Amino acid sequence: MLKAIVWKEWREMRWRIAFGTILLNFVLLALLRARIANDTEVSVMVWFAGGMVLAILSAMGPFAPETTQHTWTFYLSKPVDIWKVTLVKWFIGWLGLVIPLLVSLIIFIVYPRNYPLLVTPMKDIGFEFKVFPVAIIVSTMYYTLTCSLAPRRAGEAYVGLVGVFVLVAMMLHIMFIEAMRWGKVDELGLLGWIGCSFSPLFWIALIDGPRFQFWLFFTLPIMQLSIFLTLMFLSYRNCKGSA
Amino acid sequence: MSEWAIEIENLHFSYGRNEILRGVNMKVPVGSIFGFLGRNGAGKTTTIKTLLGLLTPSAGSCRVLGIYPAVDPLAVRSKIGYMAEDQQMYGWMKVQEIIRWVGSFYPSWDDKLIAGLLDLLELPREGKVKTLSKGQNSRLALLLSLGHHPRLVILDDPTLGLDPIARKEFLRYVIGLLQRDGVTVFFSSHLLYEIEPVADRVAILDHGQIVKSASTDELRESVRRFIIPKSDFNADHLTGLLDLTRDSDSASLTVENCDEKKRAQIVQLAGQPIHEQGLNLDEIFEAYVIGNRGVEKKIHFHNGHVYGEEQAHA
Repeated sequence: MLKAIVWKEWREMRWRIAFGTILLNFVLLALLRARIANDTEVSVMVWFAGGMVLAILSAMGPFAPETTQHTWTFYLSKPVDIWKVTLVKWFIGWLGLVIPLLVSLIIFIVYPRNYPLLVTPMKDIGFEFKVFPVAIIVSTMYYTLTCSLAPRRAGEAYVGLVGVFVLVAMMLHIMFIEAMRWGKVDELGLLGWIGCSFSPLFWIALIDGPRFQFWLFFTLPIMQLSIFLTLMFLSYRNCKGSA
Repeated sequence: MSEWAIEIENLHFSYGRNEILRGVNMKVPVGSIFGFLGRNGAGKTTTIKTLLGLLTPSAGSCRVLGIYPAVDPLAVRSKIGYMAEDQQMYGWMKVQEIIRWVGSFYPSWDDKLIAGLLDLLELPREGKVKTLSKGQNSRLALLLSLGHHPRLVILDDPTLGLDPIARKEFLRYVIGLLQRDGVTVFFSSHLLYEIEPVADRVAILDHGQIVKSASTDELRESVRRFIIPKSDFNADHLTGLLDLTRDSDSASLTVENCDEKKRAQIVQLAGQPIHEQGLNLDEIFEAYVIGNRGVEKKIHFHNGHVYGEEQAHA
């Protein structure tokens, strides 16, 4: 049964994934070729900004078409658990941002480095490889948060709009973290912690600050993803009769 | 095993403050073809979604094939076939793909049966779902609801949007395919002439309540119309009055639970010979749903305004 759910979701998402892959990597190659910034800046720009765009595109993919095509009732009248459907939809949608980013990493590795580290001094040569997992995690959080906050009866355009609002909120929040002095979020107190834990960017402040602890790098994203996935399940738990 | 395929007791359901079902009570016998009648918005689809476990009732309970859908919806859905009104399916899938996809949800899926049905229902195997005509789409939905040998088939306004010929053709398939093996059919519709030739029993749902549930023969026997060649009489004490319309020199009374006693009462009311008519299901449904219950509404137009005035009997 799970195989059938995965097959259907993959068939529905594959062109979107292909489109995202071509789009992101076209931009990456164009920027590397144009030499308007050094390789490191290009990687940061493509993986973070591109990851955000892909997250919105991916969030528009898995759930909204069931609403706009009125197929929820047909789907859910089958003997299948809603949580399985939600989880598979989330996962295949997530591939829509991971696959393009992974392809871009491969391109970044194999592309001749003809303009490395000339403009902005970076901490070390492996900086891009630290940026990449961080970009994946941030866009995953952003994608999941958009999926969970979009109303379950929303069409694709509405989900996109929710994604833009979430992005604006995230930007405001990162400004807040900056204002509270980067790296000292752990001094905000309990309320600050609770408020911050809902931002997909919050934990970067912790891991990138002077109090970086390795276990935080793994624990915080998992904790945050659990919160967002729980929100998403709660949101879709009752979508059974909605379309 | 219970003699009832569906048992509904005092079922309530609300969307926010809007109460859709207001204490529905109904029992559907095993092996029957049960017509579930109601106007658009009466609550038919909501009742069906509750039976499927897609909606949780705010009060009351229902059992489908002995299982409570609110407790074990997957068990219910694995045993029943369901076809939604104007069923939308995945247009990008080919007919064979959607059959395989739906089949993977049911361990009892019967490929041989499906192959036979594909020929019988004249469906193209390779065509995409989006290229099918409305009639073919309905037939495909019917096929998908039957492939796992369900003991109960729920058809929610299955002919919605079909032209009259496609409707008749669809009903022919339904009757041919389902009047076998003791399959119970729960057929919801607002088109009475559709249900009349097929159903053994009917229930009429109006404003979230069952206003009548009986066998079709019983209904035709018990609901009668009387034409009285005068209009100035008082029908206040007549029980079971569903509809009363008056012309200048005659009146028409539609009554339920009609027996000899009631006939005598009407003859006495008229004071002269009366004409009695049997009604078809369409007219019976109309009497239950929009019958005035003897409260006549007169509408006046005055200075561009419309005034309604209710008059009890005459």
